[in-house]
Amino acid sequence: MNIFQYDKTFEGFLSLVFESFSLKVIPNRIEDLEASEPYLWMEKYRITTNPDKSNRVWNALKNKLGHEASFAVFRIHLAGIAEMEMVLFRYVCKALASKQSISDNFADPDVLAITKFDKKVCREAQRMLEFVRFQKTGDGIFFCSMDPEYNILPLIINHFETRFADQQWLLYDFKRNYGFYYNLEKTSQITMQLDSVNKHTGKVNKDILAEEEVLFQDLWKQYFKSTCIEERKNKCLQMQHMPKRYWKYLTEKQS
Amino acid sequence: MRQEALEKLKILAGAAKYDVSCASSGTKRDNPGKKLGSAHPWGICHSFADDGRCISLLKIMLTNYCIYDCAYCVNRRSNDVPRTAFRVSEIVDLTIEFYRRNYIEGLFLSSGVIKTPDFTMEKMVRVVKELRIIHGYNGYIHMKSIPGASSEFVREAGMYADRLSVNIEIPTEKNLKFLAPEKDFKAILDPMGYIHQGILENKEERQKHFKIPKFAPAGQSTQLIVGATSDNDQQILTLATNLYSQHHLKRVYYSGFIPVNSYDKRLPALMEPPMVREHRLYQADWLYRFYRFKVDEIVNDSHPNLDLEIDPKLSYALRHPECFPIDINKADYEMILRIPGVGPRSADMILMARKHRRLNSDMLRKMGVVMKRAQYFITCGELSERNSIQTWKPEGLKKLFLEQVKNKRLADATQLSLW
Repeated sequence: MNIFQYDKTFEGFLSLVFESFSLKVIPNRIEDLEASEPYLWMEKYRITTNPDKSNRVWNALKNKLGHEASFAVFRIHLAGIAEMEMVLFRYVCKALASKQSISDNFADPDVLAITKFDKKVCREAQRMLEFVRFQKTGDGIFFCSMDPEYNILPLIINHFETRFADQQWLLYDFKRNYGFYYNLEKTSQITMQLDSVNKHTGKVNKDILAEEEVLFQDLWKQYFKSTCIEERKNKCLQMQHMPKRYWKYLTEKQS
Repeated sequence: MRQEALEKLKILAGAAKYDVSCASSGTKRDNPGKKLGSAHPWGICHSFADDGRCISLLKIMLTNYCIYDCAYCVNRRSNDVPRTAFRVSEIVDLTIEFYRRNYIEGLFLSSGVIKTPDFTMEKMVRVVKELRIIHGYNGYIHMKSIPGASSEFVREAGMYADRLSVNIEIPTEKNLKFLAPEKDFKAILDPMGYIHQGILENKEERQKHFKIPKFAPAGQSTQLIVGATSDNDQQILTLATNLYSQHHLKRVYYSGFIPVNSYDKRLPALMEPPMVREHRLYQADWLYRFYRFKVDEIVNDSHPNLDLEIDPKLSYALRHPECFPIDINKADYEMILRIPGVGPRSADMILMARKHRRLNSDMLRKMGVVMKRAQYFITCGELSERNSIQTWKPEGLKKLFLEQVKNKRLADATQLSLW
C-alpha cells in the first residue's frame, strides 16, 4: 500500500502525478502533508511541489484534453472534496496515457464520475450567482456571506467583478473562512474577523447597515410575496429549484 | 413614504404576475464602461416564489389603470381593484437598488393602457431609456409592447430593451373578439411585425457596420392563455409553431387560465387552473424546438388534443410502434431523440460514447437515460426485441406506465405523510 502526501495545492497535485509516473508507483491513498495517522505496512511518499514538474503535467493535460476538460480538472481539485482525489488521479493518468481525449468516453466509470461531479460543482457555483444577497453597509460596502458545499468562491469572482464594477463588495465563505473584497479597482483575497455579522443568518448588525437598507429588504420581501400566484402554490417545485439549505441566507426567506 | 412604496409595489407586482415570461437569457452584455450590470446568454434565476416559478426579473407594471375591458384580465376597466401608478424615477430607482443587491437579473416592464397605446409606450420607453442612458445600466430588460402601438415607439423600445413581447393571449381571432371586443389580431400582430422587421434590418446593418448596437438582442416572445376558450391543442400549437417559423419568436409561453373574473359568464368555470394541460403544451413545444418533431406529428386531425395522462413524446411512440425498437449503437441522432426516456443531453452523450465502445443498458442508465421507459423502445447488447414494444403492444405499455405513475404518486404521498 502506498500513501502519497502533498500540500493540497493544485500545483502540488500535478507534481504528485509527475512523481507517480517517474517513480512508477501508484498511490492507494492521497492525503494532506499534515495527516499523520500511523499506518502499518504502508509506504509513505512526501511530495514536494515543484513548478517545473507541475507545468509539464498541466501542459500535457491541456494538450490531451483541450481547454474545457482540463479546466474541469482544476475545478474539481479546487472543490476540495477529499474523496474525489483518487478518482481525479486515475482520470488524469488515463487522460495522459490515452492517444485521444478521454473526456467524452462516458462508458468509463472514472470519466463518468468526473463528469457528474463537475456538474455538481458547476451547479453549486451557478447557485451562488443566483442566491447571493448583498446587504449595504453604512460605508457603502455590499456584503454577502455564504457557506457553499464546495469551494467555488474563486470561480465566481469574475462574474461579480464584471457585473458590479462600480460598487465595493465583499463575498465571504464562512465555512472555509476566507473571502474576496473588491475595492473598485481590484479584488483581493482576505481573511477577517466578522464580529458584526450573525454567523447563522448572515445578517449584518443593524447599526452598521446603510440607512435605506432595511427599506429595500422589506420591499424585496413584499415583492417576493406579491409575485406568487396563490392558485398555483407548489412548495415542492420551489424546494426543487431552491433547496432549503440555501434559505437561511436569503433575504426573502428571513423574517 | 415607506408605507406608500410598499403598497404600490404590492399592487403593481400583483397586477403583473400573470405574465409568465421570466427569461433573462439570449443576450450577452459585458460591462466595458465599468458601470453597473452585465447579462449572460443562459440567464440567471435569483429566487423561486411559493408557486415554484422562478424570479429572475423585477416584473412590474407602470400602472394598472387600463382603458380596455378584456374578460380574462385582472386589470380590466370594470374591475373594482385598487389602482395606482409608478413615476418613471421610482421604477428606475427600484430596479437599480434591487439589482445592486443581486436580487434580480433585470427589469420586466409592463403596463395597463392609459389614454392611448402610444401614450403608454412613450412612458415605458422613458423608463428603459433613463436606465440605459442616465444610469449606464447594463442588466437585462424585457419590455412589453402595447397592442396597437405605432412602429416609431416599438423601434425606440428595441434599441434599449433586450427582449420585446406582445401577448396574443387568445389563440383564435373569433374568441379574442368574443372576450376582448376592443382588441383584434391586427393590433397585436402589427407590433410583432415591427419587432421582427427591426431585428432583420438591424442584422443587415450590422453586417456592414458591426458597431451598430443590436436591436432587441434577445428577440421577442408572446403568451397564450390556455383553457379560457374552446380552442384545442392543435390550434394552439399550430399558431405557436407558425410564430416560431415565420416571426422567429424566441419563446411562446402558455399560461393556464386562472379565473380572476369568475363573475364574467363568457368564461368557463374552472375549479383550478389547467396545469396539466399547460405542462403538456410546454412538452409539445419542447418537442418542436429541441427534439426535431413536426407539429403534425404531435397533434393532427385525428388527435387534436394532447393526451393528459402521458407525455406527448411517449404518446407519439405508442401511436407509432412500427418505428421501434431502435438499435442504440447504430441509429441516427434524430431517431435516438425520439426514444421516450432519452433527452438531447443523453442523446449527445450516446453519440459521443459509442465512438469508444459498444454501449449496454447499464452504461445508458449511468449516462442518465430513464431506462424504466426507454427499455421498451431500444435494443442494445443484452436488451433484445423480446422485451420491446413489439411484444408488449402499445396498449399494454400504456397500462404499465400509468400503473408506474400511480404507484410513484402513492409512494410520494406516504413519504410526505411520514414527514
